[in-house]
Amino acid sequence: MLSPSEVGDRSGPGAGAFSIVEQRPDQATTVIACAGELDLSTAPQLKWRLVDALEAGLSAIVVDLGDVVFMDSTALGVLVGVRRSLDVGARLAVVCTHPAVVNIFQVAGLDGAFELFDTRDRALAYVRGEASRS
Amino acid sequence: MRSRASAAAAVGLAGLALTAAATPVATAKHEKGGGSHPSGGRPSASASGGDHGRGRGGGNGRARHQSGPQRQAATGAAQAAPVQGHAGRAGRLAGTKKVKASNGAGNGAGRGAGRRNPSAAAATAPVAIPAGGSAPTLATTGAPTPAPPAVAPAATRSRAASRRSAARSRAGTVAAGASGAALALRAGGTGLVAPGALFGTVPAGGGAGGAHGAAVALPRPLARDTTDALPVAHTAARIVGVVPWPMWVLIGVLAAMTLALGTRSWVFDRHRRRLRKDVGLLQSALLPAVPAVMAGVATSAAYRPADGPGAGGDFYDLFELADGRLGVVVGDLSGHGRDVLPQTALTRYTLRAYLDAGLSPRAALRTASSVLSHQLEVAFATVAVAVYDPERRSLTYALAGHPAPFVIAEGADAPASAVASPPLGAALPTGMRQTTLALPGRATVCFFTDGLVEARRGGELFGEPRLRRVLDELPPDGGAEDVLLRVAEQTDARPDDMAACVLHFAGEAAPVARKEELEVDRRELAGNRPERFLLACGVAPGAVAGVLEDAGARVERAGAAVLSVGQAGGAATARVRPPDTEGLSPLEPVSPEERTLS
Repeated sequence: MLSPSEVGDRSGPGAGAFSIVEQRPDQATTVIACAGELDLSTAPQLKWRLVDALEAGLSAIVVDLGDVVFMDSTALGVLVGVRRSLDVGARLAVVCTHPAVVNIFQVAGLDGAFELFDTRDRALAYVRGEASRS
Repeated sequence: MRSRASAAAAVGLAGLALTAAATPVATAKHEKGGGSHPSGGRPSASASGGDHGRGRGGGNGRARHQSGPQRQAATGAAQAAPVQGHAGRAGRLAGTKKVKASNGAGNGAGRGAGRRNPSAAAATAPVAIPAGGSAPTLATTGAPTPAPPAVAPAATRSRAASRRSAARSRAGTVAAGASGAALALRAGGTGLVAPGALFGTVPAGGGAGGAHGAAVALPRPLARDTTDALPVAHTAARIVGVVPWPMWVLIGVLAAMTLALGTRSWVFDRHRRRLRKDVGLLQSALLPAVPAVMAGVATSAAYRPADGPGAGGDFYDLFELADGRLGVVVGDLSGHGRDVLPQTALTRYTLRAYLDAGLSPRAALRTASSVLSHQLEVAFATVAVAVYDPERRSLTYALAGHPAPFVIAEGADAPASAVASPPLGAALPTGMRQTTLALPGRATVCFFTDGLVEARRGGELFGEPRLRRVLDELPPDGGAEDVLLRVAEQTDARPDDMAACVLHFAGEAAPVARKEELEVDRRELAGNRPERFLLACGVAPGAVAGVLEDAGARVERAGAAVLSVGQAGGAATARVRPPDTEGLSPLEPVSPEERTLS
C-alpha cells in the first residue's frame, strides 16, 4: 500500500467489457478508474474498491469514470453511499466526460452533490486540497 | 496343462500380487478340498479380517464350478462364504509354509475362470458381488501392482496359496478357474487383487474349486477375452484393480456427495429463480389497482419486474385526493429484491399521505426526504410526484433524482433537466424543483422508471428517443400496459424493473404552457446553480442578473425564494415569488442571529 499499486480486474464477456483499475499514487490517495458499463452487475466491483479505500482511511479518493459509457442508478447508489460514509476531511472527486454519464448525474440531481471534473489531474488536485471545487 | 500352469507361475506375478486372503482362500480350498470346511467352523470373518468379502467371492466362484465337473454342490452358495473364510485361513497357513511355491497357480485359475467358465463367474456375481455388472471386468482384468507395504505379508501368503491352486489346477478342471475368477472379482471390489485370476494362462483345476459348488450356474457371457484383446482395457483394468478398498469406499462416498450436491444446487437454483419471480409477484401485489378514469383523466399504470436479480424496487400509485384532484407517484428504490419491498411501500405511502394532506409535490418531497433518510437506510429512492387539478387543467410535478415524464401534446418541449433535485434518502436536501404544466387540450403524459430506457436491444440501450416513439404511436386508448409491452417487444434484455403511469387528457389540440420553479436559499444563491437554472429554462442571459438580485433580496428577508420561469410560445419570463413551503422547515435552518439580522 505504501508503493503505488495497480490491480486490474476484468469481468467476463457478458459484463459489457467492464474493467476497473486502481492506482495509489501516494499513501493517502487512490484513483479508481472504471471503463465500460457500470450497472447492476458491475457496480459492486466499484463498491468494494471504494469500501476498501474507506476502510484503509484514505483521505483523497478519485473515481475516474472517464471511460464509462453507461451508468445506472445502482452505480449512483454506490457513489451516494460512499459520499455519505466519507470521513471528516476526506475528499471524493469524480471524473466524468461521457455525455450520457454527465446526464445521469444531472437528471439524478447529483451533479451538485459530487465534485465532478473533466480531467483526472484536476480531480487529483482537488482531493489533495491543492484546488477548491470544480 | 501342467506346463501351462507352470508357465504362468514363471510369469511370476509375485511382486504384483496384492491379494490377501482372497487368493489364499481359493488355494486353501484346493489344497484341502472339503477338508478345510469342517475345521474352521465359520471363521471366515475373523480369519481373514477385512477379507471376508473376498472369501465370499471365492466361495461363489467355486459354487459355479461345481456345476461343472465336481459336484460337491452340497456346500451351496450360502455356505460358500464361511467356508472360504476358513479356507482363507488355511491358505495363509499354507502360504507360510510354502512361500516359494509356484506363483502362477492363482493366475491360472483366474484366467481360466475368465475364459472357460465365464458363466460361472457371471453366476457368482449376483451372489457374491454386490457390484454385479462390473464384476466380470474386474475379474478379467485385475491389476497386478506392487502391494502397498501393509498388505505385503498377505500378498506373500496369497502367492503361496495361488501356487497351490496352480498345482491343483493341473488336475484340469475349469471349475477351479471359475472360483479363482470369483475371488478375483471380490478382490477387485475390495481393492485386493488376485493375480491368479488376472493373469493365469492355465485353467485351474476344478477339483477343489468346484467342490463347494453352488447349485446355481447360470451361464452368462462375460467380457472374457478383453484382457488379451485390448491392452488399453487391460491397463485400465489393472489400475482399477489396484485401487485399495478404502479408496473404493471413498470414491463411493464422493460420488454420493457429488450427486447430493448436484441435486441440492439444482433445487436451490430452482428455488432462487422462483424467489426472484416471487419478488416480482410480491411487488406487483403491493401496487394498487388503478381505476380507468380518475379526476376526468384516463389513467393506467403498469409494472413489470426485471428478468433476474434486478427485480423489485419500482413502484407507483395513482389515487384521487379528497378535493377531487389526482395524485401520482412513480418511483424506483436503488436496491432490489425482497429486502426493498417494505421500503418501496413505506416511500409510496409516505408520499401519498403528504399529497393527501394537501402539500404540493415539491413540499411533499421535501418533507418526505427528511423523514425517509432515516428509514431508507442505505437505499435511496428516485421519485416523481404529481398532482393534477382538473378544474385548472394543470399538472404539477416534482422530481427527486427521477427522469421527467414525457409530455405528448402540442407545443410540449423537452423539459430542462438542469439543477434537478437529488433522490430521497440520499442525505441531501431535495424538493427544490417543481414543474407545472397547463394542459388546456389533448395531451398524454407518461411517468416512467429508468428500467424502460435502460432496457437493451442487442446490447444497446432502448433510450428515451425510442420510448418517445412508442408514446407517439400509442393509440388513444393505449395504456401503461401497452407501453411496457411494446418496450418489452422491442428489447431482448430488461435488467431492471419497469413501471409506468399513463395519463390521457381529452380535448382538442391546444398548446401546452410550462412553468419551471426552483427554490433557493442563501447558500444556493452563492453558487452558480440558480444562474444555470434560469439559462436552461430559456431566460435571456441579460435578464438573469436582475432576477438573481431580486431573489437575493427576498432571501435576505425570508430565508428563501422561488425562481419561477414561465414558458409559453417559445418565450420565457422569470419572476421571483415567496416560497410556498412555509410551515415546513427551510433547506437549512436559519440561526437566531440570522433572524435578528433581517
